Amino acid sequence: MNIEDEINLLLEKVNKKQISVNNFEKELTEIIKRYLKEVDEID
Amino acid sequence: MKLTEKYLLKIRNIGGIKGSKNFELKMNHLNVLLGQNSKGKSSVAKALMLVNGMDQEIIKGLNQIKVQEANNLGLVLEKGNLRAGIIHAEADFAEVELKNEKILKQIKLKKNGEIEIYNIDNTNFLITSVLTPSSWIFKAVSNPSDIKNESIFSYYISKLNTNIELLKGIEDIFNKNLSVLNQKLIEFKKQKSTIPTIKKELETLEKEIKKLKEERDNYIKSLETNKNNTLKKQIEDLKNKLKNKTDEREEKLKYIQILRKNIEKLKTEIYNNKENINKLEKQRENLINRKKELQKQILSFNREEINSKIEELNKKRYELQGLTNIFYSVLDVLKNENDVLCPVCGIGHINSEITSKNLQNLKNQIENIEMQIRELTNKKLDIEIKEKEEKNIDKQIEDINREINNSIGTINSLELELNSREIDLKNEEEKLNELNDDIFKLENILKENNPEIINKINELSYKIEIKSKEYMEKDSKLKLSGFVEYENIRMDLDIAIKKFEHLIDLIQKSKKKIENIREEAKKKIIDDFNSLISRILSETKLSEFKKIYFDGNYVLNVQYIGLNNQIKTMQPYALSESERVLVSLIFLLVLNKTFANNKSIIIIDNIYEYLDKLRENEVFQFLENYAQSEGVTILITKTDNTDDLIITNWEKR
Repeated sequence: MNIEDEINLLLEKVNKKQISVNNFEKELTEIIKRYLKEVDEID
Repeated sequence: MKLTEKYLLKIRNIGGIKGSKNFELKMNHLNVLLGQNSKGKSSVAKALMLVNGMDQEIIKGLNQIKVQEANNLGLVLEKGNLRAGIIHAEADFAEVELKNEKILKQIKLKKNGEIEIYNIDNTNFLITSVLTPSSWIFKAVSNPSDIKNESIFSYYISKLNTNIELLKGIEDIFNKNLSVLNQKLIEFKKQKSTIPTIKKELETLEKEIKKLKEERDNYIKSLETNKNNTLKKQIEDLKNKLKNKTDEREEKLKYIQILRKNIEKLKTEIYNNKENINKLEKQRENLINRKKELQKQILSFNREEINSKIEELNKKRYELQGLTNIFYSVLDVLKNENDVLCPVCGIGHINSEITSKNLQNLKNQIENIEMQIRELTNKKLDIEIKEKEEKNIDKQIEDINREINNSIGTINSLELELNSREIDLKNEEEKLNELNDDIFKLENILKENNPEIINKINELSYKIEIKSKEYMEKDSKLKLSGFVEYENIRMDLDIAIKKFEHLIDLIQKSKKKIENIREEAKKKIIDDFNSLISRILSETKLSEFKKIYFDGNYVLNVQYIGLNNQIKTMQPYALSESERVLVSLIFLLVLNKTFANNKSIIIIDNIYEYLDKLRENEVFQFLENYAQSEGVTILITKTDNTDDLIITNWEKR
């Protein structure tokens, strides 16, 4: 799944009130890290 | 009235009331507190506000909105003992108790500033259940420029949809991320802009070194040789050797510099890992000590004994409660008589005073038992929390041990690498020394005939060495410039810039989506809130208002029906005082219905005086209907000629 889809999925959770602000922050940070690590692996 | 139908309010030394006074409020009805001016009506109202609304958040100053409202309503202790405040001027303390069959709330205020409360927790009572001319509601309706009061409107209205707060939180997180990512992107771009300069400097250095080497080679070539052919050949060999050795020494120097850097880096990594282990060991020691302490407390707790005590106390409480019901029935039989024949045995007599006294004793016993049960239950809860903490500590210790082992493994492999690098360095340095000796010998041989040239060659070699070092420093800087680190992730600079730009774009788009959803939700909750206002307004049957509503910016508007049925839309501050009171009253009921976490009591003080006297029946009837249909007990103060303060039930006249 690409980063756009991952963030959209997260927004979907917000829309359905399935996620708290704290968990949203954690999940967003993880998504960003995973996306940046892809760079690391290519390297 | 039975305790199931009323609240008992006991007041002592509040405001203008010196000593004790008891009142009864009929539950789920409109109660009118009558009295002459300055007889203490507002003190009774304040007592009721204190015992319902003065929670820890106000006492400890944790919630500014609530603290502000307590100040507005005059519930906060006066500083100094000279002026009369919420505590009577001649008293050292004030007390209020409110109870019915199900609840008991108490508050004690001392002149030294101490406040003790019982059963008054986490309430927004003052904000949602009180209306006086000093309440924020009345101020917000009357004064459009008071932004603080307006913001309480939006605060409460936005609470109608919990998703609004979530969406606001998400927007804040997007903003936080955007700020960090943008800042990093600027840093990356700045780093990128330095690369061409370093490259240019490297090119210049390279040219300079090349030139110096050529110059030195020319000097080596120009070394004078003897005319003797054999010797000439030997000298030529020596010159070649000197050139090769000098080149070799430069390569060696470069390699040694790299090795030294690697060794330094390895040593730093080992040091950091050791520091981390020290830190973790300290954490582990603290956790072990805490665990021992917890275990000691858990072991000393006898759960079975506590459970059986609670069971025993509960049994006793049920028995006593059964008995109180009998006493209530007996008092019902007695009604207004002091002494009657017992209806059960028909022989003995029952006395009203003795029965009431015994009933009070029974209730005191029940209160005492309930207090013991609460204490024991709290002890049980405390131990359960400690057991959870103990389990959590085990998990934390496991994690720490794992981390320590990982760090030890890392240190071992780093130390192995360090050893091998140090051996390499030693070997290379030995080889360099040998080379230096060889060069020295060669130069000595050649020096006899060419002392000045050899000095020149040495001078040039030294210059080359310095420039080469500089070149290597810059080269490693260039290599580092090509990479960046974020959250311990090492990335190629160009790719990082692209990824960060993409991320920023994505987050900005996502933030926009959330903003749109929030705007929609805000519109919906304002609509919902306006429907609630309309519903209450229609129930009041007030003929002068067609509609009271909030616009998209949380500004309150009123559609007023004027002369000739003309409808004017205006903000409520433009209305007359009595009309503003009515708008505030409607707003109070909507807030109370929607947000009060304990919507059992509403207090309306000093408002009657603002009402149009012709409207009294209309308004009071509506409040009575509202109290009955919503299960709310309402107290309204009203100036009257009665000698003493009394609370009566309102009846339509």
